[in-house]
Amino acid sequence: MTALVLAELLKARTTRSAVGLALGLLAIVAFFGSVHAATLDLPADTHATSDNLSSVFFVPVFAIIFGILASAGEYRHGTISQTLLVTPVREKLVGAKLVAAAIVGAALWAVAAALAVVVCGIWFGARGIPFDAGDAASTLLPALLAAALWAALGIGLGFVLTSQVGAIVALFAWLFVVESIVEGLLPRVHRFLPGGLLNDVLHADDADFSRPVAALITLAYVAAFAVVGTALARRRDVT
Amino acid sequence: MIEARSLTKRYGSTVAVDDLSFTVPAGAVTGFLGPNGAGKTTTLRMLLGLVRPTSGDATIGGERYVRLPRPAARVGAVLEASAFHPGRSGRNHLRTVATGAEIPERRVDEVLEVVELTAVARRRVKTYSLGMRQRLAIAQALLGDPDVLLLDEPANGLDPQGIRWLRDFLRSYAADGRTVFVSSHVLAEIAQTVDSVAIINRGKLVAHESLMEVRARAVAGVRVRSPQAARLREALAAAGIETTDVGEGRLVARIESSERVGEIAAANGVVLHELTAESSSLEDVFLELTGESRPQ
Repeated sequence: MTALVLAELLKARTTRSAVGLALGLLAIVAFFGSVHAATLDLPADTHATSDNLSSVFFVPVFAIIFGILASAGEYRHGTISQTLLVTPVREKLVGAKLVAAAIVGAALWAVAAALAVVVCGIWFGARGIPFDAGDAASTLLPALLAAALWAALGIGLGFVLTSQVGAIVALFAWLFVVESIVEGLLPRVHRFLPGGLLNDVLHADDADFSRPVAALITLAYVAAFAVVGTALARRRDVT
Repeated sequence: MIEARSLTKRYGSTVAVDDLSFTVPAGAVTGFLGPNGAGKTTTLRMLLGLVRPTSGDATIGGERYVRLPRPAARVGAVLEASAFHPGRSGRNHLRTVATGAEIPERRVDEVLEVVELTAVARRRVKTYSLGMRQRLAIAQALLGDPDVLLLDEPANGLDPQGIRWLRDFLRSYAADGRTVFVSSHVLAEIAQTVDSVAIINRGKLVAHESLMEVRARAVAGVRVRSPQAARLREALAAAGIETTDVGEGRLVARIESSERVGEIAAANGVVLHELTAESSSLEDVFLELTGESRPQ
């Protein structure tokens, strides 16, 4: 199993997709942190540090896109045949991809968090604003948890849909259209949906569920997509 | 050894592979022949666990592919139109396979050397020609030093030197006592490589025999055209010569001597418009077996 995870990590390192995602993420983090720090109205803001670092909340979205590329991308490029020749047992393949994606999600978080802290430190230093480490951790660490979970969610989604573009379109339509409508009409249902749960994992203050509960329900989604994706991968002919 | 037992694959009402049974022995190169769409690729993919048979069973060394403990070390496969990630280098592609299959990384450079891709190994696959991709696929199949090689139309995209290299390579591979199963839709392409052939058409096995037996089927014939074809046919039959009516006054007589056909026609007062000695090739045998007659 370790070998399969290492192979998946090597796949992630040997194309430009993961690097491209990391660069996009870094650009957003640098831009967001700079704009926030430059326009910060100090006395009004009691959580200046965590607000400045909140661009790491983009990491889960980039992580799930990575997960989709790592799973549906194999179908898109036809490499799924060769991959299944090495690992014909679908359960093992999906399992290895889940673990590897969670690791890549954590790595995306690490580079984003590191840059966010550097940008914040430079701006706050220049403006004489104190950097509150405890406040920083309260924003950064939940993003790590969410990044790992959402990367794994992307693997399951990719195996269910197998269309890379389709999965990414479905993801954004779900998050920004379906969940917005449900949130407006049925807020009690929305809190059980992945986007609503993501909010609870990231923000403790306006949450419906406590962070551990929200993370566990998200994990249930990860497991459900992975199980359905594996079952479909077992049945699906690769031609 | 590869074994297919009553393999069947249906897509809706279409039967792609129909109750196919055969065995492929070790120590020989076995050809898998059939026209395009005959079910070769589907069969190979069923052997490799990529396509689920509707019914029947396929085993390699007595085990289904998905149950082999380290499949890449037992079976090497070159699939038709092998796909690679265009942005990954050939060498990195092989490294991902070697890592997953727990094959030492030095094998990557060894197989690149074998297929003569070392010079371009670090280039991204999207810059590769069809032939280079095909060689990369062969390199991947060889990574685990497997006992069984399955190749689907491996000559596609290879230049004549490459085809020759592949032929020699497969022969020596089988000579080591290993199993080689290679598909093609052109008999001539693999006639010099294979010891025996399994021929399929429309998903059914039509012949499974040694190449010697196939060659024995390749009889010579004499093609004649006559306005009195029916009468000529009777006359030839009376002389014990079998004929095939290919339409529009044309017959093919199953005999080598065009002189003899001409003499019989003259003796019976039959006018001939055409008289040609033809040697039927292996390809004709193949076309005849698969029921695809040559365009006239």
